[in-house]
Amino acid sequence: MDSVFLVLKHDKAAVISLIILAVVILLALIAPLLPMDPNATDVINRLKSPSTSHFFGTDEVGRDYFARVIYGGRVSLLVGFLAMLTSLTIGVAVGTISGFCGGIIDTILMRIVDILHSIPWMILVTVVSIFLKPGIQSIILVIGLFTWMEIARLVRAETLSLKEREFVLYAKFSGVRVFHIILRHIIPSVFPTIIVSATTSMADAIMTESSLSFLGVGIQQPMSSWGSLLQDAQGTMQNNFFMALIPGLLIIITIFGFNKLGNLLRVYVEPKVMNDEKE
Amino acid sequence: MDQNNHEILLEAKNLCKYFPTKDFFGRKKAEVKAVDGIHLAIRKGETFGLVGESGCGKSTLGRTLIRMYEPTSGSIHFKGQDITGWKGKKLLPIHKQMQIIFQDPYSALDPHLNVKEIIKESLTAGGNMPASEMDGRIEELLKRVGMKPDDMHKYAYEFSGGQRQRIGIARALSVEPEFLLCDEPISALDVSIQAQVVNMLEELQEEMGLSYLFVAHDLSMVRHISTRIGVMYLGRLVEVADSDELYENPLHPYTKALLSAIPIADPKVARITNRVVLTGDLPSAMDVPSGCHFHTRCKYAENGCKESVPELREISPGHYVSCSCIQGIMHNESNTLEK
Repeated sequence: MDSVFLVLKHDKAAVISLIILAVVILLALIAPLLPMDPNATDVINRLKSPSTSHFFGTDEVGRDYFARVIYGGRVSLLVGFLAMLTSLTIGVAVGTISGFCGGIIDTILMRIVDILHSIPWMILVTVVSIFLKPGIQSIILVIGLFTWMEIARLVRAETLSLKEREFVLYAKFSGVRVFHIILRHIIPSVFPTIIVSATTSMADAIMTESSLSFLGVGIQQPMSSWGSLLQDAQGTMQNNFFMALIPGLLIIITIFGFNKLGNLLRVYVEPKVMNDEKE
Repeated sequence: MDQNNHEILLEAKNLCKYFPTKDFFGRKKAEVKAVDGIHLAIRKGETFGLVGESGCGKSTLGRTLIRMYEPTSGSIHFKGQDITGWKGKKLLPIHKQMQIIFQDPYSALDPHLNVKEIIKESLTAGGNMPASEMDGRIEELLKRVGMKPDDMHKYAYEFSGGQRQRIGIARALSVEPEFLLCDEPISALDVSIQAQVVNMLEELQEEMGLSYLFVAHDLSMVRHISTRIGVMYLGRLVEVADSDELYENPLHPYTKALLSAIPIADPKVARITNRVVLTGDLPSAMDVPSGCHFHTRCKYAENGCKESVPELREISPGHYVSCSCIQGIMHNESNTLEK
């Protein structure tokens, strides 16, 4: 824990981005409790500048932009989180099975990873999302299904070294089933890696979702996400440039925050693991 | 009683274990002959010591014998049954009778589990035990290896090396084995702790009638604990004899060199003792010499040693040596002694 504080002391950007990240997550969580409606139109007050009644002004149909940004963040974070969970589950399963079983299973799984990796994912995701019914579920699925390869590789590499460790050899020797060995011995040992890649994966998923929504194949109206808010803001860029600035900044800060969080977790988790083994 | 002592528990015939090495394209390039044609019999209730340089295949031989590794060729008989071809479920009861203690007590225990979970895993794998009996059984095991029942809920990293080794022993004993492979169980421990662990192993042997295969490179400790000792060089046994016989009357030139490397505490004695120093380096296990593996470093080597593989032959009762020039060497030596 001390090492984490040491890093925080020297990295003001990390502190600020983590605080903003915390506020964003909190607002996203309590959004339904706030007295505002992101979909209530008010055509008289359209394209207003920020004021006390509308913190971020209103958009071109008079909806409160602050509420839309918060609800958009809700969608972005939810998609990021669930897509991260999906890709983490697939990645960890493929990585541990591939690394532990070896042989032909390993070869097949890793070639699949190579193939998926060699297709430019933006094209892949765009093409697939055209075929799926547009909506939040398909976005989560599409991102989750095509971003697990890096995690699988990381987990496989660690599993390869873990399976030669004597406690794993012994479990195999005493007849513990492969599934149990992976669950009880391998996954707890690769957990630090999993946690760290979870944060990066979350940041990547938010980024992907924003890009997709910006391109119009992601979140559809009236629902908004930061990416779709960016797209909507294009039309009014000249008069209300802050409408593009706010979601853009939030995307940048959130991704930056998650990456910093990943760094901190790495610092927090790794010395402990080293102590466990070397003590 | 005497009859019982000679009952053979575990026997290996012409046992080989080769590890393939692969080149860039995954093709088999060469083989590391870690265990190369070993004949070995371990009797019930005895401790068979296995010594040799690092990398000579001691641990591999042990792990192949207990079927942790798949043998390349040869056969393994346990209690008269040929268990060489046995696989999967069929091997489980065998694994319960043959257990292992590892060299490194740090990597032998999963750092994420507590002692109870560690022992429970080997207790429950393959068989069932009611949860009500479990705690009592684990407590009993811990007491047996000199630990407190409260230690059950601690994690492996909270213990010292010696205590971890005790946990490892408790885990091995939990399934009531008959044969225990001690894979250098004391080389990672402090000298004072070594003695404790060795004494405990001896007590357990008496109580439970265990047989040990004791792999080590600490030669004095091996002499202390073993009934018989085998000396290995590059995957082959070069000499097997009763413990005292081997130390007092080593016959193979390699054994002589190995034993003369034991440090002697008394400087006066050390000064008058002739240390046999081997020339050359240990050949790579991937490219072992032809014929007798030792001929490249043996001062008695003759031309024939390069070609023919010497067999393990009984020179005197219970004393086996694998050296084709052994008669000449023995003759030579008695001459020098007379002079």
